[in-house]
Amino acid sequence: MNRYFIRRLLATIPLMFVISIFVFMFIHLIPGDPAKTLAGVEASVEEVEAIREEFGLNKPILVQYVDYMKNLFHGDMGRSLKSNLPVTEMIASRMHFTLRLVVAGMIWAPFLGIFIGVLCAIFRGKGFDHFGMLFAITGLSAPGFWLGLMGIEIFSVRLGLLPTAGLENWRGYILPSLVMGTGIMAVLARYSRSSMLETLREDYVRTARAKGQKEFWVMFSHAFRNSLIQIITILGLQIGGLLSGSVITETIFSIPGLGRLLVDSIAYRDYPVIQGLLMIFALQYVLINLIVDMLYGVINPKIRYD
Amino acid sequence: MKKLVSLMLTGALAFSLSTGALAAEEVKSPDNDLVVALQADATHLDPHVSSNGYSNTITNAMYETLLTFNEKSEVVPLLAKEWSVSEDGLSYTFVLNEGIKFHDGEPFNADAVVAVYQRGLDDDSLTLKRSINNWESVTADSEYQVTIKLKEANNTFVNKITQVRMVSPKAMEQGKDYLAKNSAGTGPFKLSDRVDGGYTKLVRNDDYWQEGPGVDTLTFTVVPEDGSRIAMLQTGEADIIDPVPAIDVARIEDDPTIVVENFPGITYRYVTLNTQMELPDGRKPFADKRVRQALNYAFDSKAYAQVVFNGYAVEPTSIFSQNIMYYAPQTPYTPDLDKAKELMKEAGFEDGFDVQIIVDNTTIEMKGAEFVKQQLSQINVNVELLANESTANAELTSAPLEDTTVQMWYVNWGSGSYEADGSMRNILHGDKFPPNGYNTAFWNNEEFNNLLDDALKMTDTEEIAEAYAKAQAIAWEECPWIFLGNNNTLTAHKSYVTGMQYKPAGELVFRTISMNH
Repeated sequence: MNRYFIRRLLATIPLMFVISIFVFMFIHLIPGDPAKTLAGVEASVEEVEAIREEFGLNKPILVQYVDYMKNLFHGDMGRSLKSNLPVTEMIASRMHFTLRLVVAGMIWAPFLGIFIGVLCAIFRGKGFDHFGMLFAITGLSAPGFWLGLMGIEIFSVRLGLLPTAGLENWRGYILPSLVMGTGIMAVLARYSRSSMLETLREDYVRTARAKGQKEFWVMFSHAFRNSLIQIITILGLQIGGLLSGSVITETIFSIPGLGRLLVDSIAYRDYPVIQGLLMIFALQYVLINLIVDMLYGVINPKIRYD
Repeated sequence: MKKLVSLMLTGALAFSLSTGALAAEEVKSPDNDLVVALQADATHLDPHVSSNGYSNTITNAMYETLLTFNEKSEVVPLLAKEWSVSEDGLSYTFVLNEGIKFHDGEPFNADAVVAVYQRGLDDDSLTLKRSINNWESVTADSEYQVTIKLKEANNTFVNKITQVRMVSPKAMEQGKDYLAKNSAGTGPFKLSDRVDGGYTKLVRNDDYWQEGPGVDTLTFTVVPEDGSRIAMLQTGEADIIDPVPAIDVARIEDDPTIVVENFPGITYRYVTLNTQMELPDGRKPFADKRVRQALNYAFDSKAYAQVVFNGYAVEPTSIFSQNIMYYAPQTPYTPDLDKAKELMKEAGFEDGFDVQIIVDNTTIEMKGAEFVKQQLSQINVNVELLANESTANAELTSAPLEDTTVQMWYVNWGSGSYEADGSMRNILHGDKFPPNGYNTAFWNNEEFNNLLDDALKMTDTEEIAEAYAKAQAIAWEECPWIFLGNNNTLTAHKSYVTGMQYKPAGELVFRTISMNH
């Protein structure tokens, strides 16, 4: 297990290397000139050229890439073209906002989603099942920006209960948490229902019942535990997505997280920041997938990595 | 189901009643901390680096200039108490106010002005560079008198110097990184802390040299979503919001605790017509003045103001905004489809043609371009929208004549220093074909070019006014663009905010801002 883990961890190095090449080439392929955007419309050709020179944007792209990688190995992700701040500092100062949002969404949504999904499966075809799935589909179909703006209109503007922006106190977390979590809750409700239904049809569940085990234990210990494999796979992917920042939640609630940083940086063609963010997002996905793989073994000891 | 509907109706009623009740109370600010919600963040807090409008809004609260603009588009003294110009228009002498200190304790004097000039000379990548590139020298005549000599006479100098912010020489030595995190101006507020993309918090400068603000702190917070910005003003989380989207004015204008300010803006909107563009059959429709005029006769700018800007826009009466110095009104192209069709027929384009228009892919720009498309379809001009992100468009529109793919460009322009030359040269002068400028009409009118060049060297304001009036008349008659109009600047604030000042076109000035609390 440990050897497998270390091997997988080491394998991320060449993977990240390949990702870095793709990311670097792709962002330089997007049309648009950062020097021109930074200088503004009233700038002369010479001013634009001076900015290009300052940031090394006039060098051949391969040289730029090699320079970038050299610095990266020294832990230096370069400086933002726009604000001139070190990219590592920018990402660090904004990552905690995104992490706080992820926690705010994750603290309730997966649990409620799985709970609803499992109950729907148990009461398949009954009233609760219909209600639960209607709830899930509504959650899936409600666009985040609509949910957020409606939340602001009702709870902030009209009732004056919650702030419209920022994460300054616990009340500030409620609406963003609602927007972040609703989709995940809905997805998990649907997946856990179908996964649970599948395991309920398995022979070992029938055997457990035939043994005369109590229904609760049949459901919990046999059916639910085995259906967790699928649920965790989905959960991993969802968390990976959230960690790259939720542009919509961050925009509506004016939270300066990573999602907005990425969008702003793309608008300015701020290459070092885009590059840094994409590398970190890729790394997060790789690591989360690794953790999910490890969890498989914990949930189902039959799955072994040697 | 019936129960549910009635429950919802009751709920809606309760909400509307509760807002009504709130409105009747007299509002006071709960604190003395002013919050301004802006659509976007400053790019950089070094006032010599920053280039976008929001950077200026924020840095102007910390940094000051020798001269400034008042609301009536007049240049007035600020750090300099008086100024004079030599007869040849080459030397400008400023007498500075005494006893002023920068935030870092350094004195403001003639040497500081020289140091700012030196910084612009030494670093080409600063936006400061474009303000000083016509300066020959800066001399400190005495501690509080400084003379700026120009390379050649240029009557826009006075306007342009309103953009040159004074920074402590000691701080400038420490460079951009220092100035990104510390303020070193003479302004009414000092930098406290900042989260890039989040907020910028300033505190009152208690040593300010003239009557200053009443508020303790001034925080600029970035709220990109229009609906959230409006909500923040409604709840009082923000005391001022900038901008208010035209479409949302109706949501707040009846609220007695909110004041909506509406200024005729300097953002002039137009569609460039590439006069060198060739159709597949070799004809050049926009080379013919009659076609260009026909497009203007087919375009209803009143309807445009209504449809795209909810009425918060002014119809075009010249080639730039009425807020710009030396504006001269022209006879509007009153919509006249018959005339437009007749002109098209005379020019041999009765059956119209296909053309593409480049536009930024934001909602409001697309809506405007769609409107243009609809209007031109009336004279059989079939417009196809090419919507791109603005950064990508900037690249397309910078291509030189031989490579350009731009046929029409839906765009806007505003001169940051409110001057006529800045409102025309970069986008209409014959020397300013891309990549040297944004004359994507590729329109080159000798007489127009000469008028602009000559006017720069004139010192007599009547002569200048005459030259610019002529230039405006030529471009208006020649129609290198479809003239669309000026949208207004809309900002809003809580009624307890007092002492607000404005530059032309509604740019906020926080010097004497206070709150009733």
